[in-house]
Amino acid sequence: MLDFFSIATKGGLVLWSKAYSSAQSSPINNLIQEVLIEERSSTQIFYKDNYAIKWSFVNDLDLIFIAVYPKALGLTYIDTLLQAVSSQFSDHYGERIARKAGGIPQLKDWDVQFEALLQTIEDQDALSKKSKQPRKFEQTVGYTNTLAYAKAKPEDLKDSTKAALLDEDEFRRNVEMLKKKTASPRMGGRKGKGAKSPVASPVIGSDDIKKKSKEGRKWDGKISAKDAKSLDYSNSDMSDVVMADHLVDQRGMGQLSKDGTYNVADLEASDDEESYSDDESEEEYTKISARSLQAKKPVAASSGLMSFFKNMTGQKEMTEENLEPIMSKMKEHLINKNVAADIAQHLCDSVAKGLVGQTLGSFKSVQSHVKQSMETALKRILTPKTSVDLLRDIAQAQAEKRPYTIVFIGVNGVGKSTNLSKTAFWLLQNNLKVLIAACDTFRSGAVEQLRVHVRNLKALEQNAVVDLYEKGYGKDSAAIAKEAISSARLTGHDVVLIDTAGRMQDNDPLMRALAKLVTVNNPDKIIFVGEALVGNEAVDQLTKFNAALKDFSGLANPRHIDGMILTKFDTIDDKVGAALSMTYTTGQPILFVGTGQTYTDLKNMKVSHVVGSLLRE
Amino acid sequence: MSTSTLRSLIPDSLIIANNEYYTLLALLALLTLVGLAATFAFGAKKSSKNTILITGLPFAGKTVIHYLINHNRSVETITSIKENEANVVLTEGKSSVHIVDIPGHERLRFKFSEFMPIARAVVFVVDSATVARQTRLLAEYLYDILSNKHAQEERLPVLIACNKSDLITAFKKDRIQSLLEAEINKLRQTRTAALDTQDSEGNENVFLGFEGKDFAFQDLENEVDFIECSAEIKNVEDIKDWIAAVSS
Repeated sequence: MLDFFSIATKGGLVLWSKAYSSAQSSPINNLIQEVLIEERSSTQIFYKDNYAIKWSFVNDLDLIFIAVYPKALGLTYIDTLLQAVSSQFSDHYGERIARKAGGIPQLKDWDVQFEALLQTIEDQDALSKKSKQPRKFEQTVGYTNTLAYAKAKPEDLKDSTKAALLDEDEFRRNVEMLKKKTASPRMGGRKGKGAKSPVASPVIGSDDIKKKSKEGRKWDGKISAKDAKSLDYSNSDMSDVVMADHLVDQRGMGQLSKDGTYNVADLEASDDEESYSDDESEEEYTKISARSLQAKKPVAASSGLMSFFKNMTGQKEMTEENLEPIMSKMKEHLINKNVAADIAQHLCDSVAKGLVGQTLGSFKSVQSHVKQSMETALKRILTPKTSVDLLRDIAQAQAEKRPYTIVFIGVNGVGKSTNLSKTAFWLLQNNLKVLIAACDTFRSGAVEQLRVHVRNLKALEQNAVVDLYEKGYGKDSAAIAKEAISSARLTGHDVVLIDTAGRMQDNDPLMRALAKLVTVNNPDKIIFVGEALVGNEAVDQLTKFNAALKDFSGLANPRHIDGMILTKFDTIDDKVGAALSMTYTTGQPILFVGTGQTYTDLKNMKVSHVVGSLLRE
Repeated sequence: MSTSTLRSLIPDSLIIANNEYYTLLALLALLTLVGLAATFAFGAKKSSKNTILITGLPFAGKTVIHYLINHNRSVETITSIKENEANVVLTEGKSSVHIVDIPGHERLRFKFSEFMPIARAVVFVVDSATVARQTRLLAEYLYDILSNKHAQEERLPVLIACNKSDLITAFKKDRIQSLLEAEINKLRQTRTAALDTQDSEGNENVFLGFEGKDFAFQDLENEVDFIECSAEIKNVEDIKDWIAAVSS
């Protein structure tokens, strides 16, 4: 079932882990690198190879709980397990971990506790699968395992234990009565019948049993009320008949009673939710939750006392409720900065998830704290995770004696050709020989535009080697690019810049053509050119371009966009949201930003500048 | 107007009963004390530069080394999301050293620059077994550290800890040094030729070493040391000694 469970700190220290199969910790590292660090933790589940991974945070202790299970199994109880484990773990060891911040806490007995918890939850899940009323069960199982349940209904729990005791007494009395009644053959027959229909039959008559269990509760009440009466009338025939019916009912319900004490637990369980859940685990679980309740109590009391001081120093815990208004304001703010709406939402969810449960330091407002963690999150997203040193890549290609190829792709009119020539200018300044391949064979004037650029570049640098490779209009662009690359190999050009026709992301035939160009030529870098003016559309463009490269390539390892150039960056003032939308969507860096009309207006993006602009009021 | 009429003008909620003054006073006194203590603690932490940064690529063994130095315990680790911090006394009688283990993941690496202003020295952990495959990544990170403004101004000493030296495939430290030098030699060409950043206030890119001469660590003004170690077999004594030496 469960493959691997791990409890770790955000610092990377594994506090406790248990492997149930030969799963290594590598899917966990993947989870961290691909989801948590990328601020994508607003998703709920992560699939890697054959594993599905779910996780939860306890932020005030900086803990992560990670459960790994086989993807094929689709276990439904993992959420419940994570929730139960995280609350119980932090109840038991929270203080110790907080005290030894950064240290290595000792975890006594945790193995046993975890096993008990896992067993309980697995059993409940198994039962819920057996029954044909999953909805009803899901409610009860899910609810009993949450801390909320334990908090909300401590009285109920006590009641049920009381009821259990009552039941025990009553049961004994009933048994005695039954012994007296055995003289009646009718009764004996009934009893036998009852014994044959055991508790294990819920599948067939779960409905009936449910009803019965409810009736049973009523009966309990009546019995205890009529206790005296039953004693009084024990000899009376009239009452005997009544009592007999009574007993039959009881027996049919709690057949396992012959095993002794566990019958009690069974009845108790039936009182609350289900009559046919596994007694042992049920009782164990109640014990556990009761224990955790007890553990919780003194904490709650002290927090009541401390809350006064905490409020005085502004130290308070962040909850979803008090974060909600601030996060929605933050989201609005990001959207105003031209961040795509759903990305703003994802990001805010993810940041909120990382904040819930944290306590604020003294003299710190929630707002400033949110802003601070948003800043860190933004920095994380915008910081490139791969090298953006294009010149180093080119040097590598030179060493391998092959031309370095870059394809510029994008929708119409974003500035592909313009920024291609700006890039060419920069490369020329570094004494590289550049060949520009005119693969926009579609729009009239595209080739001529590049020819003008080449002429200008030649005029700018006296001994610059920059040439245009063109075959006119209407030809297959993939073939032209191929020829350009092989010609560059012969002529000794260091870099081939491939200009493509602009296309809308929904234009299927053109997207196929682009995928073909990429597949045939396998360029070193695929650069997506996007406008900084774009808003929600950015996500759609990038996802569809990426999807086209993937779906239409027919390769086992399809290519994807390697980097982006953000153009018209000078026109947007501080509404730099597109930079965030694009990096978040692709996870790839923004290589350059276009900041003007001349060849020198190509810059490296400064992360701190963009983050600053995004958070500026 | 008598005081009673004046009082009646003020809403009841604003009038404080005499006994409540004491509580308020006591609280104010408490607050000032707490505030002072806090500023003192933080001020002291920032001013005396006793922070040692542990940096390096992911899976180099930074967190393991961190826990070995601070708790002398081998631990199991996963990729860090957050930096680990600890104060440790390395030599008896000396003041404690603040050790920070910076996550190695590319997206989190920027954190090292936030700690640079308070850094006393930098430990750069290298996985000796994979160094040949990762030379470029290593050199880029090391370049960023060495060319950092604070590293330049303060001439921060850098220790390159060649971890996992117990492995049979591990490179010797001399070989790692020459690999890194060759790669940084290439990098300083490309880095200085990179485009300016937007709103660039002067070129932050510095040229490491001497122009017209191949890059060598000994040309740097920073003291750069190489040692071999292995966290697997708890052999980090050299790192401890080095930290103790630079922080004394």
